[in-house]
Amino acid sequence: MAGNREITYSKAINEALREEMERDENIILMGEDIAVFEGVYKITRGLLDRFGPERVRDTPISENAIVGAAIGASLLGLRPVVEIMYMDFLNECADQLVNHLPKMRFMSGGKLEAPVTVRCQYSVGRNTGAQHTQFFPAFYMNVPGLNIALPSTPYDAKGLLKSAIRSGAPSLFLECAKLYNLKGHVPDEDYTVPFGSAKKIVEGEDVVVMALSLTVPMAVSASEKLRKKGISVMVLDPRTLSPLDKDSILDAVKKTGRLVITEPDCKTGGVGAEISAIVAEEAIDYLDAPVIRIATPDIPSPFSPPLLDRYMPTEEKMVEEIEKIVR
Amino acid sequence: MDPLAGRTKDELEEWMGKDPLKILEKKLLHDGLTKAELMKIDEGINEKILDAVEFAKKSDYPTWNLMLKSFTN
Repeated sequence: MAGNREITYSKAINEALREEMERDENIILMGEDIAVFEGVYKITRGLLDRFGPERVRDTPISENAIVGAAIGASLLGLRPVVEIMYMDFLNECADQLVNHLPKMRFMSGGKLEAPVTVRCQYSVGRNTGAQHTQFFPAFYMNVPGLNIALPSTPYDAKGLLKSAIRSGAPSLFLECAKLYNLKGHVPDEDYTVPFGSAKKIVEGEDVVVMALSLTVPMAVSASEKLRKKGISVMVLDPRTLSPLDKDSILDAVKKTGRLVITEPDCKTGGVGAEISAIVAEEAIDYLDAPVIRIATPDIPSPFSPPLLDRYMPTEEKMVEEIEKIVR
Repeated sequence: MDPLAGRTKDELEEWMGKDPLKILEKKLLHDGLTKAELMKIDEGINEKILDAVEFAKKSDYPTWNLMLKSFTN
């Protein structure tokens, strides 16, 4: 039954959308070029044909209007799943996404629910220039009321998207464009992955590497290299940032005594800054070494390939930094 | 994908008629510029673009420090 079916990360997202739309006719899709063109990354392939233009809707190029319309539709009983083409464009809909969506329930004294899922991809590491490569998940960790998922595998992408869509709360679902072609096991049968539950991808004793999204596969490769050098590295993927599985992070720090955070966003004010603060508050006595953050430098992403190579976190940088604090 | 799927041919033509470059060209001719002068401007622009492409192809990739200079003072 479970089998060994392997599909890509992008196919897993497409399946989640299709299966949820089959299950619940209140689910609709909205976004730029998602219907006739099937999305710039073809995530919504086949969905217009299957569900028709009432439920799969092309919108004008107006992100704030898209999210605003989705909020209104959700208040009247629909469950809209919005695609914003690039994470960079979330800035275009910040008013609806930050000022309205996560406050609906609170401002109505719990009377209104706005079950909107906003999907977008981020393209850091691709040669698409400084305005189409941004990844700033920490912005949204600072917005209470918005659940945030950032899957690193096809399995988690499908399971977390289903959870987001079924949840009564608003969710921000961050897809990594560089992982769209990554293949991995996804079962045939229906399943979900809960928010707020980190996954230990590699077991280890000497140091825990907390990796996010694109940096998860890099951290796994780094752990394999270091294992050959006698260093046992745990790799932990939080999978969601809000809610954040603090307990798993703290347990991992208590077990290993060393924490490295690797993230494909700018170092200053990034996710790692928050994790470091949590560990400083709640587990500082367990640390045997300084916390290390391997992120991008605090500059916009360059376009030029050799500059981009130097800009990105890499497996090599991880190996180098981990060796420094373990030896 | 059919580029006309979302609009009629008439609508497309209407918008093509609003091409700002063509409107400017018409205005300049009306204001007394000659066709020869306009052509000279066009050629000058093309030359600049071709030179830039040539320069880019001949150049090494930019260095990290050069990039930083464009970001910080």
